[in-house]
Amino acid sequence: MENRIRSEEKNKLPLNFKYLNKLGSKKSKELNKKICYVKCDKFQTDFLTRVTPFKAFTRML
Amino acid sequence: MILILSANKDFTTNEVIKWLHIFDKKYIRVHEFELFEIKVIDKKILLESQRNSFYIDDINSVWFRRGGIKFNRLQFQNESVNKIMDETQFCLEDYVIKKLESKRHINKQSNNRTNKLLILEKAVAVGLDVPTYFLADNTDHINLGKTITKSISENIMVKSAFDDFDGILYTSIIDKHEDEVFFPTFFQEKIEKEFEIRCFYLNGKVWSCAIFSQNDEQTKIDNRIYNYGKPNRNVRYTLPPEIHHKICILMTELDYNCGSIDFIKSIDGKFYFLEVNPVGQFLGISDICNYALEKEIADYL
Repeated sequence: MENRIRSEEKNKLPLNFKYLNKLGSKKSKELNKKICYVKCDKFQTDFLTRVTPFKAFTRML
Repeated sequence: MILILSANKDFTTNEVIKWLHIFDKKYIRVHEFELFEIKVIDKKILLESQRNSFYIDDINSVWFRRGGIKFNRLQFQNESVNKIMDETQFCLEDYVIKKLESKRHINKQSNNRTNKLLILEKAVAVGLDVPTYFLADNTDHINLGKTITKSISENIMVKSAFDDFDGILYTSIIDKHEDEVFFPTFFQEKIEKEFEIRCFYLNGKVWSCAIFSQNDEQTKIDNRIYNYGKPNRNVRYTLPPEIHHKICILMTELDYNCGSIDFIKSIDGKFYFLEVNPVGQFLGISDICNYALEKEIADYL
């Protein structure tokens, strides 16, 4: 699938725009929409996410 | 009191805040879209937004992560008055920011824009090896297959670049000549690498991680094109003392006391400097290498 940025722009762009990569996938976009954020006064943010440990607990023992 | 200038959605800030709670340190978190008014109460400067209100004298340390303090600047009807008041408001705003930056801090709002070209020049000046680079608007002098191009802007995401996808400007190898001229573009010699090194710098200390990205076709040019199925091997790494020393000089020259720095260790044993990002992501190497960098930041503040 050709990126449409270069054809849409009237002015010249740097050459690296020709090598533009796709980011993510339809599936990951849908998954991102499902991420649940919670407003959290303790962390002073509207976007606290529940995270799973980066490493399996058994690896940390 | 610690002042954290960040983005509402910034995950890294949450991780540092976890440690601030453990250390029982008090903090104020400012989001990227907050607009402050400067008030004076009993000769003390008070900053007030919809979410926050604090005296600048009560702030002991500042962490500039993202965004920054933005002010609600008033407009005046008379053109001449408006000009004077614009300058007056600028003086007050500038004073507030400089006063906050004179406290114990991690990076500065006034110095948050990086210029990759100037950074490369400074890296050369401090004696770091830098792959040969140049700007060009044509491919006449490009060595095909041995030259890469990458963005000189910090933002590399392009929204709606494809029908169903956003785009991202990764590092790419130039594999063919172009007939037409283009906007001035950054080109750099491609270095045959043994591995890549991602470093985190904080006040003279450097933590490094070696990323073995060269054996995977997907990651060999840019390790950020992650192979989730078979991730690159990442291990703790210690840079040679002379490279560490040059990093410290470079960061002092750039007036950054914190940042993420990328190197390539070439197959001929040289350490090639690539770039510095003062607001880069560091949780990756922190987790993988058990460096607990978020704890280091919370401890410093």
